[in-house]
Amino acid sequence: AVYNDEGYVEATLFRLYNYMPIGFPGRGQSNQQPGRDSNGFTSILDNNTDIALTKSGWIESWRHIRPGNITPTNNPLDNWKECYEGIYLANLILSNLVEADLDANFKTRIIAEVNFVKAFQYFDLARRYGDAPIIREIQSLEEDLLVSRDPVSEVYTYVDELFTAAATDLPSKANLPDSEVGRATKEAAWAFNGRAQLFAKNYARSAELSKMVMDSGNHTLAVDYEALFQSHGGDSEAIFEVLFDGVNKGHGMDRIMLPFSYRSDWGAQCNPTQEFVDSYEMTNGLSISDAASGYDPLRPYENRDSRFHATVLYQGAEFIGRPMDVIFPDGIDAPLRTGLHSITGYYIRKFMDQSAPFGVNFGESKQSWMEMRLAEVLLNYAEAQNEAVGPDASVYNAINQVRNRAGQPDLAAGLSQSEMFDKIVHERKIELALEGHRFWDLKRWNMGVEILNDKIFTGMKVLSVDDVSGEMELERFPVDNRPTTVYFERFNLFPIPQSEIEKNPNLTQNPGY
Amino acid sequence: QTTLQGIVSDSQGPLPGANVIVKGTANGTQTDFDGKFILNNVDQGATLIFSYIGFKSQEVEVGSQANINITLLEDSESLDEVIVVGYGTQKKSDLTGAVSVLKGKAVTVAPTPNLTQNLSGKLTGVISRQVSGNPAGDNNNEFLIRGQSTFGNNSALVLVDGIERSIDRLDPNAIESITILKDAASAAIYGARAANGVVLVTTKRGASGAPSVSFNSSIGFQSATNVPEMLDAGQFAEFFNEARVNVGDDPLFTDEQVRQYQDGTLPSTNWWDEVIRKSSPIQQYGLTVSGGGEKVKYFTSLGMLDQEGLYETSSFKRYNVRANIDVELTNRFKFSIDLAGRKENISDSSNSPFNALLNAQPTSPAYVPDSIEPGGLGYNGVNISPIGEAIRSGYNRTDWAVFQGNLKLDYDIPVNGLSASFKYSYDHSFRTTKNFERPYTFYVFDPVNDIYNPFPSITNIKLEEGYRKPIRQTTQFFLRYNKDFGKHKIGGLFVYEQVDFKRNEIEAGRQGFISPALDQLLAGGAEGQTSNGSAFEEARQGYIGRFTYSYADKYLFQANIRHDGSNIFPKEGRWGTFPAFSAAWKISEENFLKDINFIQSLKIRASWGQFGNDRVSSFQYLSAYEFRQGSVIGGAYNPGIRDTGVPNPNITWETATDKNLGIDFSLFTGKLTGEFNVFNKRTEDILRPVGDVPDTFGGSLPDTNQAITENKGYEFALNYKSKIGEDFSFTISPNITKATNEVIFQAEPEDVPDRIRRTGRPFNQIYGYTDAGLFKTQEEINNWPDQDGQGNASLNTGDIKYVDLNNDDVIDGEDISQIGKSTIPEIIFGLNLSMNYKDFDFSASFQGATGFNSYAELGAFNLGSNAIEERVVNAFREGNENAAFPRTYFNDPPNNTKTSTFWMIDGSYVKLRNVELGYTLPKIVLNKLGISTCRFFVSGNNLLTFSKYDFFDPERPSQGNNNVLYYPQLSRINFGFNVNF
Repeated sequence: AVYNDEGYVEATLFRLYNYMPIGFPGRGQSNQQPGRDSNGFTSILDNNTDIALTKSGWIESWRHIRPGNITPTNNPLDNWKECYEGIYLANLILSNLVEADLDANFKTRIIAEVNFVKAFQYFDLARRYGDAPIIREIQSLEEDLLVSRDPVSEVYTYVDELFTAAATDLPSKANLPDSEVGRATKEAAWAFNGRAQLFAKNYARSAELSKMVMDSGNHTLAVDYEALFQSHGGDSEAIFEVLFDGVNKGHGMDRIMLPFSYRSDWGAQCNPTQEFVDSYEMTNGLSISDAASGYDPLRPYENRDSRFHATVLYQGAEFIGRPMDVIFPDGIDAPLRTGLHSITGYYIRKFMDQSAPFGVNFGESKQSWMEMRLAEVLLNYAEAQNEAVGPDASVYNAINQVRNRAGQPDLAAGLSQSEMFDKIVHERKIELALEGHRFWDLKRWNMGVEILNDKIFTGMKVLSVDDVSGEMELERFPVDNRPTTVYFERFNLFPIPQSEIEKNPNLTQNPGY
Repeated sequence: QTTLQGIVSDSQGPLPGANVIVKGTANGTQTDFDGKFILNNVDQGATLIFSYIGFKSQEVEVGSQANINITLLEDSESLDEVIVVGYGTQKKSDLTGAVSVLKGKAVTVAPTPNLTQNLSGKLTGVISRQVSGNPAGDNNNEFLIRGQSTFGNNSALVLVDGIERSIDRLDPNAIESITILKDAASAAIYGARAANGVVLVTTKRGASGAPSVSFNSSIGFQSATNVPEMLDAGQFAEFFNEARVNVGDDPLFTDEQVRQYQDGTLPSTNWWDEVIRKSSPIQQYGLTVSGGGEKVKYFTSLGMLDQEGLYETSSFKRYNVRANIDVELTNRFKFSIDLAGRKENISDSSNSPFNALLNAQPTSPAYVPDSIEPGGLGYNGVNISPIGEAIRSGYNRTDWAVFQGNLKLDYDIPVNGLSASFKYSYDHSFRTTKNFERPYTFYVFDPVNDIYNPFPSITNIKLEEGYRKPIRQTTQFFLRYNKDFGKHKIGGLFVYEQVDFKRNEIEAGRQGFISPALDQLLAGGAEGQTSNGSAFEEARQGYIGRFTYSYADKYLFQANIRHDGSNIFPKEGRWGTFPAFSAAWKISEENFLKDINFIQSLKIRASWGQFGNDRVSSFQYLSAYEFRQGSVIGGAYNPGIRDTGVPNPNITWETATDKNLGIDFSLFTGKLTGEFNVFNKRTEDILRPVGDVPDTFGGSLPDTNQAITENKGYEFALNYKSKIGEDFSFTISPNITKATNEVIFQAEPEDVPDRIRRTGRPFNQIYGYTDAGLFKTQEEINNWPDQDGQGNASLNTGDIKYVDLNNDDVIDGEDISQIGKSTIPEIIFGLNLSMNYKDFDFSASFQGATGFNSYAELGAFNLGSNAIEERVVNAFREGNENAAFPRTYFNDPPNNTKTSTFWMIDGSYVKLRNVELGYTLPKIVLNKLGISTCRFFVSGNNLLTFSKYDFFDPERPSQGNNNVLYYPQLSRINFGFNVNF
């Protein structure tokens, strides 16, 4: 009966959408989400990379991930069960809709949305585990459940099939009323497929898909990069987002991440590193290591890429009505002052909802999580096209659109393919910072060992600031009061959970585990 | 007509409370505390009947006597008290099953707000642990009969006057007896709900005679039994610095500050003292009036409890009223009506203060200077104000209004030995809940600018109200047959029972209140409103039969059978049949023992039976949908639904097969009595999730009837009563219960290594690493197998060393194994003492438990919070290499927080549960005041605890580091009196 009622069928879909990722922590018990990180403390995936650190022993990052303790029996980032749960639900809805006595157009759209979520689950399995069993239709308990892993290339082919089928029947963003923001569109299916095919290294296909999104003209880059991440939904740059109302569904990003003096009683768990701060260009587009850049080490925060000011909170940054005071050791938000203070000297501004009331509680934050936005599509396109064809004008055009929005100048012409790749790596790190991309990118580029292994990242103590000149007395320090980061090549793929291998002898383990 | 007086005694001395009635009239009275009675208006030709439960009634013709002293004989070897059993009563000497009984004064001695607290150690077979001291928090208490025998709900079926009702909320003054049915022979008559044992509570009824009025009152003072000893400011400053240095941070406090905290120049805050009251009052009042004539008897009671908790917002109030009325309509018809009402108000703070309390730094002042704000709250140095959480964060209140009614009609059928009854019960309660979260301000000191910055605790004022209405209707029809044929006695019982249970619930919430002044939904904002509702319904039917046979009062036999149906299972598996057979042999009735003087009675019992457990999730056989987290679409929240999983159309009861062997004896003219039982309960078809389907299947799998467990053990109870001289009498009753359980089968993947296999081990088995103490030297670390995946580079001296069980030179998941014992005590024991000397009486009840482990991972300074003194002072550091605890950390490292034997503690304890000293005023004084007796008493609960584990109360729930967040258990001293008119 459930499947003959449009309202109930939509309700099954609205449950299924919960299997799309959310990168915010602290969603609280009343906001149960599938996924191992449902407590939310591993959600800022980039906390496990070179760009930001988290600091508490009870958070999975320091406890398990950074020290390299990812094993088949212990993996906080394991999502195997949850992905297959999502797939089961999707298959269940699909099998029930076959017979359902419903309006054909309604049915077609629901099926497309279900396939959209299902495709994402397979993409997630492929990027986490590589080869994975493909369960196309719901299994009955009577059949042989001891399935084998299908090659990752076949998984990506299936992802392409599902997203393509979904895109055919989904409404275009142009036809999506405001009241339906949060549901999948044609553009979203193309964009996710473009991302998936980039991970699959099917570059030509990936570029083609991202281009379809760009050419649709239905999404535009937001004018204000900082405001974009405080959106409560519906920004024209957002291609797929998970919305919150802060009551029935909310998260705890603000409570967990704000600096101490703005009421974080959980210790501001995302602290950008000095390495990350240093990687922001000057406004003239030059790296600070370039002698011509005009970088002043005594006034390090001046004339930097505008995205630095929009992403990082640093000494003197104006934030919610007053300047930050992180002067060591007694500034109210000084590094290492207490367990609630930053361990690097920096906090994050990106995502912090400056319109929220002071002390907003868990489950009350309602910034939407933009899992897919136009800037990523542009950068996905640039990377895929650069790999497939080389740095042609369309590559420059895509990456420069992203840079220009931030006020950064165009890239110099005449870059080689590998020079362009380096620029794309940089641009993704800056533009998509803390959105989880750095975490996955380092894996797919096989850069984890080089950038992460055996590393102790650094922070910055501001010892004093000259009132007149604005010059700072600074002391760079290694964050050696936390475990050294360990990264083995095998971490590019996660282990299949041991319990699964025990139950199903047909599953092979990934190499190195 | 004349006035008669006299004294009624038994072999031990005067017998208070014995009934004296003029035969064929309503003229009667009860003996007082000295066994004396006075009866007016007695005809010379009348006959007096003297009676008392457990004694043979005697009839005496008055004749010309004015003074009648009589000694009542204990009825059949003093064992023949009539006790309540399933769907009836039986003489204790005729029992063939394993049953414990508590009655009379033992129920009301040293009164506690929740009755189960009073049962610990007094009854064999009962494992009762009080896991929290929260007023009215009885739901947290564990109450197990003979340990655990299934994975899910192990709680006993509790019936009050035959109906499923809460035992804890009864007025103890209205309780006649508590019977625990432990084996299948006694409990299987409750069929599908009996496998965890059955508790039968019976309320008092009136007896013919003059009105008997009893009033009692007590006032008590409560305090926490064991509050963790935290570091003071001097210790905190010193060791917090040490912990920071240990992880590579700079010290937080200067040497000067450390010195000042240590010499008292700078103040230290004891947060527990700031938040937790030293003493909080409790008052209890009870009034009972009972009596009756020949045709109508009544028992009425009024009770009131007013308990304050450990802080201002925490309290419990309860009002009970009851009237049990019996009317003899005709010779053959008897009618009873029982009406009971209860009102409860439970209150607590909206936020529990215990988390904030444990975090609180002693170096932070509790209040800011008056110049900032008089009474203004400081913060705990980490995140919030514990005082604010306790008393200013709003409230969470639950109100219950409960009505319980029984109607009963008995018919003595004009066929010899046959009688019938019809009984209908209607229980209706209303529960309202109201949770109001409001902000308070606390101040954080900014040393740079020398100012106090105000912080609001929360910004959004929230109100949630809920309403719940459960209704239970029970209909029972009884047919009984009892007849003697010479030496053959035959008894039969048939019962039909039907139970309907319905519950409706509705909840609503608002937020965005402009001000905390008006705590009503209407004052909330329009945005973020919530509303919710649900309903639940359950129905059962049962056909019950019992057959008893005895020959020559020596050989006893009993058979029970119950055919039970419940709608929580599918049609095909809905009905179950639960048989039980038992037999007993009263050896002492045999001629060869008749002449042995010191044996008054000796009986052996054996029983076999099956009963069921249906306390599992309902309706698992249906393919169903449930509301779960949905999505926000276009700014509006849309609920989601998902299927509840693959249904199991074959689901049915868990069935336990129980065997019991017992001996009851009474020796030395009844001075020494005792009972011994051995039992073995095998539970099959236990519902467990399918364990071997790979997660790639994706769906939630149903429970299937698959697991098998065994629970076995023994119980032993003795009771010795005696007199020394004329004035001193005493009773000593020790008891012990041992119950161990084992998982015989549960679905596990075939390849699961033995070290983590669950089969063959008890429930609640802990699995973890085995520790080998602490690393004392760097050399030890270097030579130890790799336990951090980095060749031990992250380890330091003072970290925990783990054993490489599989000798592969790496300590990883494959070195996890079963460690320690279960968290449920294997052995529990009690020692109950009572003494009387002249007008003084004394009783004490000790209770203990052993054979279990508690798990307590004690952390130091997480996020800058305070720590338990012992953990830090006795931590590894230079000069304290033989420390009990790892070196101090600011955020404990993963190495030291792994589940391991290191943090496992022998949980054994002994407690002085109850103690009471009473003094009864001499008669002479009272008679003039029209009072028959008056007794003053002082009593205590939880006054002494002996345990190796002295950080917390040993009954606290066993978990990780968070275990300290519970509400501490309370100890209590009561002063009170009771008077009888």
